Amino acid sequence: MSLTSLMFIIFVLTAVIGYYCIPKRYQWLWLLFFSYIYYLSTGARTVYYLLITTASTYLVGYFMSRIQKDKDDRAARRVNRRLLVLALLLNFGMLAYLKYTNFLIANLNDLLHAQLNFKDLLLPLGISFYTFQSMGYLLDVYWKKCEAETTPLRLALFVSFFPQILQGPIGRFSRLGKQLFTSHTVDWEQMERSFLLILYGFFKKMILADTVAPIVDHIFGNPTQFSGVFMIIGVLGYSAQLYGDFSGGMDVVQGISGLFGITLDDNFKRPFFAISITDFWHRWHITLGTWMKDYVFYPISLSKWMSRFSKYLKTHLSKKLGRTIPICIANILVFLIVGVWHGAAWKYIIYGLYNGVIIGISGLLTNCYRDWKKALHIQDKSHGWHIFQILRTFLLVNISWFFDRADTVKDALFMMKNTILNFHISVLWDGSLLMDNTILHIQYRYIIVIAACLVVFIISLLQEKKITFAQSIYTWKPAVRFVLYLVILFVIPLLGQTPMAEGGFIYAQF
Amino acid sequence: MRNSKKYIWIGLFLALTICINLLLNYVLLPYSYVRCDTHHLTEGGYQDIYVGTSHGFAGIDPLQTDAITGRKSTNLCLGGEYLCDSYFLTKEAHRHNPLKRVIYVLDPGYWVTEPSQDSSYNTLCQSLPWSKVKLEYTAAKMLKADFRTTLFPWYNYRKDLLKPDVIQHNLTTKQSQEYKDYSIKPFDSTGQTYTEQGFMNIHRVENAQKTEQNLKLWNEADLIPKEFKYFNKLKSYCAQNQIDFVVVTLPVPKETLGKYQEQFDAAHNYFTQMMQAQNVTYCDFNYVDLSSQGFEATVSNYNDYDGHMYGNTAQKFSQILGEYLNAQDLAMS
Repeated sequence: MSLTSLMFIIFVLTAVIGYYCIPKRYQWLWLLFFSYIYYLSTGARTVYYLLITTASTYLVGYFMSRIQKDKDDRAARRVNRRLLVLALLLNFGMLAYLKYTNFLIANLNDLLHAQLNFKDLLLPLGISFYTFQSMGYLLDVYWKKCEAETTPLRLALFVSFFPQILQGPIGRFSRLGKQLFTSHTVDWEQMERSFLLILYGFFKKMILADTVAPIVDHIFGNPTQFSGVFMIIGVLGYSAQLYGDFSGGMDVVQGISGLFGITLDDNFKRPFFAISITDFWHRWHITLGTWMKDYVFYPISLSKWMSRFSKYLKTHLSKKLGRTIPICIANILVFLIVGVWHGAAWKYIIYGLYNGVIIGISGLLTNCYRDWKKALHIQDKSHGWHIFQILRTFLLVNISWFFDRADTVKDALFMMKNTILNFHISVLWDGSLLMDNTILHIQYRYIIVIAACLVVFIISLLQEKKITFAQSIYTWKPAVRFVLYLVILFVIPLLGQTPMAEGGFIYAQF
Repeated sequence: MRNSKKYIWIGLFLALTICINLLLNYVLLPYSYVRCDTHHLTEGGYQDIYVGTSHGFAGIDPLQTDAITGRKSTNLCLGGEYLCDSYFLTKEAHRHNPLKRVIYVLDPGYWVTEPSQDSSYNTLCQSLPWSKVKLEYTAAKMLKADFRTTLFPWYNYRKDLLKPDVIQHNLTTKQSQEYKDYSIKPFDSTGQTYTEQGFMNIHRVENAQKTEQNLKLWNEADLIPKEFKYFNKLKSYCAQNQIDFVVVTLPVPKETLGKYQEQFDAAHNYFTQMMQAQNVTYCDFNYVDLSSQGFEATVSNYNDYDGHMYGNTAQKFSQILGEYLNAQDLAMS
């Protein structure tokens, strides 16, 4: 069931109306029922993977909390660690098997000139998201950051909550769990804000992302046919597409949750206003970033072997390097995992490493940066420096998109080389931008994409200046607000494009 | 804001949304011959219907077949008509007419492609009168479609907002008596004539440039299960209602057949075997010698390489089809 289908709209309306009509104590059961209907309608053949994850998460969480109560601290910790490792191996093993087996076979075939057959594996919908969410919960229970859930059906709801299961955000039990299980009454203000958020999400998805998508696909699909200017158009277009698609999808998902009175964690915070790659990852796919920080980065950087390594560096090199090198290594490892999470291909691994290396090296060179800025009389708080940092980060992010979007690492490198060595600025005015009209209504597409980018930029700028659009709208007169909603509602079909693939959210494939 | 006021605003918002939507539909949606087809069904009296793709739409003239079969038939083939559409069209037709025979025009390419959500996607749904069939059809086809296609039917014609002459034409047509009378006259153009029994007579144009841009080639690996599902539904529906079910594939130009021999051969073998296994009468006219019956399947007799016949070619072919249907009728009886 695609988020853009009529069926989904009817499904959500039924779920919302029913949610507020039934007795409050059954509201969470109602959500669970609808979450499973949604999952069954979308990925019925793979529902047992969801059930395995739910059952194993519940059982391990439950037993860990029982053991913590029954045994002394040390013994409990030992047993719990074993249980935790078992659950992590089972769930991440399942994810790895389903997602990476064929990647491994392809590489083994290449490396050993073998003829191993590929497996016919069906990737369960949302597996990357619900696995991370469930395992985050187990780690929290293990670290006693939250109490284990004693009701299996409640945990099942936490794992399968339908608005977020396909593309996140990756929720935390401490925040999401409470909201899911408490009862809610109709909050008209939140309803209206949620409706606006849904409209804005569809605006970003249908007018920005889906309009630019064919141009991006055409350029990245035929890299040898185009000069450097097109590479830049392609990668900038991909920036717009990915942001419009993913953040638009998130807005829709958050809006739908909001209709039930449930606030999901933010996944985006104006990422293109980031002043460094580290800052970018604090603003882009935030819930994945914080998951990685809490469950991978800290465990690695605070581990015994890392502290021994740190001590060794402090003794043999310098105090500063003893502190920064372990952080650098942890960052690179984290982003290697982020890359692998994105997909089973070398290009994603390079994409992850690229980000990890930049963040790692930035950490190592912090003092040098400080000295350089001092020597060049750069004021940290000056507008010029701030804008320079934003542009520099935007450039670095766009370089990473080449790896993310190109079909192979080779294509990505070729496109980057072409950007510099085969620029051909004349294509901007000699009519080449129309690409021989291979893409329908390309001139309108350019205009719509630029206009949509401007709208999104202005709204983001206002938000960056702490002017929250949705909240300020609510202070307007109802007539003005409703006219605005009507305008957005009709602009979506008026200017939006139908994606090539049904449903078509990029991150719904993870 | 008090809740009562909220309800008023929500009601007003919904009412305005519906009004603007209806207005845009009225202004942008063109008068469609599907509206005439479905209306003519309600007048009753048809014994045979042709359902299927645009090859049938341009290739079967019921007047010619009826002259040979002695029955009254109508052509319900449409461009972009998939088996789901054919199935519900058959049900709708049978609601008003005690059908004796359904002839399904099979284009193998339609079994391996998903319907694109273009202007033809929801035309039939809009044209069907309210009934249980319409509800079933909506649930089967429209629920899964993009909400813009279903809730905002003008979406596929939005570019016409920039064309005042098109808007003017739509408005004039919809206010005319011909529209109210379900007349087919507005569909006449220099290139083609639409007939009341659903046949699109494409006029021959000398030295016209011909393309194959809508050609959908068969590839068994891409077979879509949904087509199977509706094929079986259509077959069962016919069986339950004692309606004869015949499947035909119309001939494409031999130039196209030669160019894509491998795909056409594979499709022919696949469907011949499938129909035999299903005990369904099937004729692939691409593999019948029609020249002996005076029919030349050369591109000069077609509007394009895809297989849309010129009117006079279609009329000749329809006579052959009529003979074939008669022969089948005799064999069955």
